[in-house]
Amino acid sequence: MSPSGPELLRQIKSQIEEVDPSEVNELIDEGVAVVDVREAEEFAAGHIPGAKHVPRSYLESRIEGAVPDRSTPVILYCASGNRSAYAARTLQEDLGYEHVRSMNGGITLWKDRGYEVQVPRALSGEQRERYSRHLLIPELGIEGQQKLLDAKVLLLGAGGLGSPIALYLAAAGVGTLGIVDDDEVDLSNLQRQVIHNSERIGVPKVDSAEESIRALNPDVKVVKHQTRLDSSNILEIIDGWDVIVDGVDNFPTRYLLNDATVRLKIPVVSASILGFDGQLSVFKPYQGPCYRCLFREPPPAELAPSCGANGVLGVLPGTMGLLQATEVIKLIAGIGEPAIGRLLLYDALGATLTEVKVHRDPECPICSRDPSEISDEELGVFPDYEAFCAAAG
Amino acid sequence: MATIKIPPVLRPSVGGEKLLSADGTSVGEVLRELASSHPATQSQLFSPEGAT
Repeated sequence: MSPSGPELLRQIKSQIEEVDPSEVNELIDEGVAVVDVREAEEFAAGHIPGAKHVPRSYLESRIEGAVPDRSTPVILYCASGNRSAYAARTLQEDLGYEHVRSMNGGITLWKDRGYEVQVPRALSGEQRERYSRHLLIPELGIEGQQKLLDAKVLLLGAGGLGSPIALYLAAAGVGTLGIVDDDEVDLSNLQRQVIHNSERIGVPKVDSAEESIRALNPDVKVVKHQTRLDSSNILEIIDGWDVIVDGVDNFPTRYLLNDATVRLKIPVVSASILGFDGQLSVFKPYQGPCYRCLFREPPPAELAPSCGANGVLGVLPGTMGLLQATEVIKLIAGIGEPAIGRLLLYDALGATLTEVKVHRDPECPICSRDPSEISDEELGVFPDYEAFCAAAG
Repeated sequence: MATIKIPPVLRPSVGGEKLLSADGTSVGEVLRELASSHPATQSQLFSPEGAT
């Protein structure tokens, strides 16, 4: 005879290990994965701080995203300890997790004991719908989406790289996007700069980009700087941003940006493109190498490809820009392994991606020193741009 | 024999090749061999004093 519901629950509970909320409270910072198996609405109403959210109905398909290592001790909880008991048995018996426990009494008992409950700021109904595919990824979820909404990302350039980056970061819900560009939309831009369009030729790129961003996602605040970065304005413009995306088209600005961001300790997601080739790296000051560790000096002026019009495959900035946008989201959400200390080389013709390890240079003229020692006069020490390009002929 | 990946800005100096091979037991030797077979790279890889 089949067991009744209560009998089945008793059987299940006899097969799993239960843990009291007081013990969970002590284990919470000890490398234990605490997983809330309730529904999204229940989780949003308040959960154990730091708990990952994997609804029981999606347990089998999503637990690996939240707890990839089966040897990690896992504590599951729900409202009262019943759903988490069933889930614990599934993890233990069917999925091979080695040390699974279910919290006795669930979050109801946790609250009764007076332990801390974290209430995430609620997303609006429209936001839940707009970002629903993010919310379904355990690595992001509501907390990751909130981080994106709270984030401030500054884009240097609304051109080839900046176009896809701005569009996708806006779509992803990055709350504040800054754009620095002094240029206007030109017909020759439209082969790759997809944030602009034929009707906006002659319009400042910052205005054109803002229009596209607003049409895509009204959640995003756009901060425009229709100017060219130079040593007189860079510290003021870049201060206070969480991440900077380097899509600039010339070496002097790139070195200036490096020096200023090391001083202010702001991570930079950098890419460059030429022809069919692209490069990408993430420069996180004092955690990895900086641009000057990688390229101590600029190339000779006659070789610098930034002084005039250079050919580039139209889709290449799309490919590289979206790799940059991906790195930005990873940095904001604190997930994955950003390309810090790694230079990725993409060859579109060969369809190859090569990785080169890059180490910090102990004698780097910039990042081997304390940020407070980097003076204004040292920022972007580099030949004058006009002279640099004039020399290139 | 080492394989050298040539960045886009140096390709005009080596006849447009993306990959080249050169002999040498150290990075310096390999680069000197490269500069020897492709003299246009000499001034880009080495200072006038011969430093890399």
